Amino acid sequence: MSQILSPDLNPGIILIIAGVLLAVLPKLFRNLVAAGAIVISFTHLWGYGLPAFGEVSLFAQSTLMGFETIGVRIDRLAMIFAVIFHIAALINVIYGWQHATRLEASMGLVYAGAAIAGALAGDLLTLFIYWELAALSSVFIVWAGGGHAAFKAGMRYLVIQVLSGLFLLAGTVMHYSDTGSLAFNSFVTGDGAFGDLSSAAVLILISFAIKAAFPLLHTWLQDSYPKASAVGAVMLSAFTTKLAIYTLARGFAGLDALIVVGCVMTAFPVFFALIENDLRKVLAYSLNNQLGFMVCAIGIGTPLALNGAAAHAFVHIIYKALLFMSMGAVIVRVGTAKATELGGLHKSMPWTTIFCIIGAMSIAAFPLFSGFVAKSMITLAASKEHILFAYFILLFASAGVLVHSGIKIPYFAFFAHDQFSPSHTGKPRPKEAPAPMLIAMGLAAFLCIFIGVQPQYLFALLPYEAKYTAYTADHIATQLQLLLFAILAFALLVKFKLYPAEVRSQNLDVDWFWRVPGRHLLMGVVNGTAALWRFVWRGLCALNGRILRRLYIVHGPEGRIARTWPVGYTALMTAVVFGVVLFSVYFY
Amino acid sequence: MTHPDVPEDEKSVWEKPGTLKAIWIILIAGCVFSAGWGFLLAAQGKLGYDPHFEDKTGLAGVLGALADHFPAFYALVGFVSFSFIVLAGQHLRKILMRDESYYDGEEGRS
Repeated sequence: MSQILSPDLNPGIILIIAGVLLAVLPKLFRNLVAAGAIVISFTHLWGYGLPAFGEVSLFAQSTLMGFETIGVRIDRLAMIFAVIFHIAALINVIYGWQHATRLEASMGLVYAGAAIAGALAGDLLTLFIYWELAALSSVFIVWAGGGHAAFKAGMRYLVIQVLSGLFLLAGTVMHYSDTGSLAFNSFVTGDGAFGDLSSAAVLILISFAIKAAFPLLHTWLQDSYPKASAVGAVMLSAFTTKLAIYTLARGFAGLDALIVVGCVMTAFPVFFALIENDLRKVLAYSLNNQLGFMVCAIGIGTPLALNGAAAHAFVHIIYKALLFMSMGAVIVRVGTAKATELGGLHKSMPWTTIFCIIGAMSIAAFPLFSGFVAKSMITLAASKEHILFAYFILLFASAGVLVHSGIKIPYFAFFAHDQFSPSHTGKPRPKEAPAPMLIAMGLAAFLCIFIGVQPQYLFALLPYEAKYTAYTADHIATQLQLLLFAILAFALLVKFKLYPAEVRSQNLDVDWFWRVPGRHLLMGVVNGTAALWRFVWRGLCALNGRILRRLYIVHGPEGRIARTWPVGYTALMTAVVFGVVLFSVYFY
Repeated sequence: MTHPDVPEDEKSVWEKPGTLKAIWIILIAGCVFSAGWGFLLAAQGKLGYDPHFEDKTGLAGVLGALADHFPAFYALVGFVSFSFIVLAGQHLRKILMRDESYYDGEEGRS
């Protein structure tokens, strides 16, 4: 397909430039320019054509300060991520048509552009630039949430994201010094659990691990996303972590250790999501759990598994955005997403309820919904590779998805106990979500069902050649068994009052270690350093005073140097000096 | 916040006892259907057609055989996993739960 714009122009740059422009445009033009830029960028991307399996095209090859860089690399892995990032960007613009602030609209588009440009970057240095741009632009979206808590969360987010960038830069420098190349290809060179990674590759892996929210490195996600605005959280949910999944798939496919990491990632968030009251934080844990499926698939590393990771990332971006959008609509109408304050909203927000349920059924992987056709690729890949523990944990986590996103989100927000009864509150019920939000949710819901019903269009984009049929009798039967019996368990637990009630609370996660004792330790070090400095400064001041006093004694107006000497004494001293000089000349 | 009792005229169709009863019936019927479908497929040799874990031994062998050959294995996994997550997970609150203002003061309550 021919392109109007130069193929050397990374499509993401179009969005980055448009995003900067948005900062100075009035609201209506902001939305139109943003939507137009996404259409132009997507058309430009599609103009490259869908590459054949294994085909790689490189553009914008140049030398930057002596380093050979590749501005655009088009292959199927990059393409599928660039496509879904465009879809997410468009959904974000529509969703924020009315409610996005100038800052959110502008930085949201820059952020999307950075993610797209990063996915299409052909070398590590170019990736680093977009990696950091994504971090810097997205922190403004966190801050746009407003309030001191959002500001602090944004600062923590920024520190962690920039740290990820530093690891990437350090790894890139070491990789260049080792190999003389900035090429971004697989770093896995052996068959062991850690794939004989070089030191440089380990640093790069840490960088990707931070952004992919690996266990123990994950809390920036739950900390920051729920503090963004209704619109901002939707923007944030799509890009950072999925860009990291893309980079892991490119650089570390087949690294056995990732199977274990992925399994842990899928399993542990379900427990945290269960006890969490803030439904957007539940979604953040759910996001972690979904990333675990992708990381596990990347660790398995077969073509089927990698297709599963890419397909799952694709559908996940849509249904996760849909769930975040439904909670955002609730926040816009009610002012909170806390389960204890919600319930019964299906009566006045029926469309939002329906869209949320579609998102929930998609993430839970019901047949005919998008999650069904993608997630099972990963579990099937685990079973085909005979990785029993991974298979069991992925099944366990699939039931866990139903706990937190499939049931908890729609049930507590829209059903459960009616908190908005006019006879009790004395106020009319909350209104349905604003039209632009409904349109964006409707579009995402349509895609969830369309992909679920017509998966061949998604499969046509997948990066590797692998045989897979989504709709087989045994697959449908077994998935229905898993989901329906899990729902039966939920119904019985609620009936017998064994399902825990929602409680207003702050639940601790591993970030407690650096937010409480870590902070105390840091403040102790700061205070200790300040005390030491004060001690040193006082000593220096005292020493300085003593020196000045002594100098004053000698050189002051009353000092010995300032004393007036008698003429006789002066003549005597002159004679002595002369004598010394004469002796010196005579003897030497 | 306490949950107010909703007057009858404000109840939606989803809160009517008849609807809830119908949901129970559909759910149980769905469970029976899916489990029955699994047994039917197994009888036809279409479930576990490609055993994936037959090389496993010991406990892994038992679990692998369950996964490959037990027609209601996924029903068991769904029910047990969900119940375990809910029944065990809620005890985490004893360790992890703090007041909403723990990190962000009064702002954390909003």
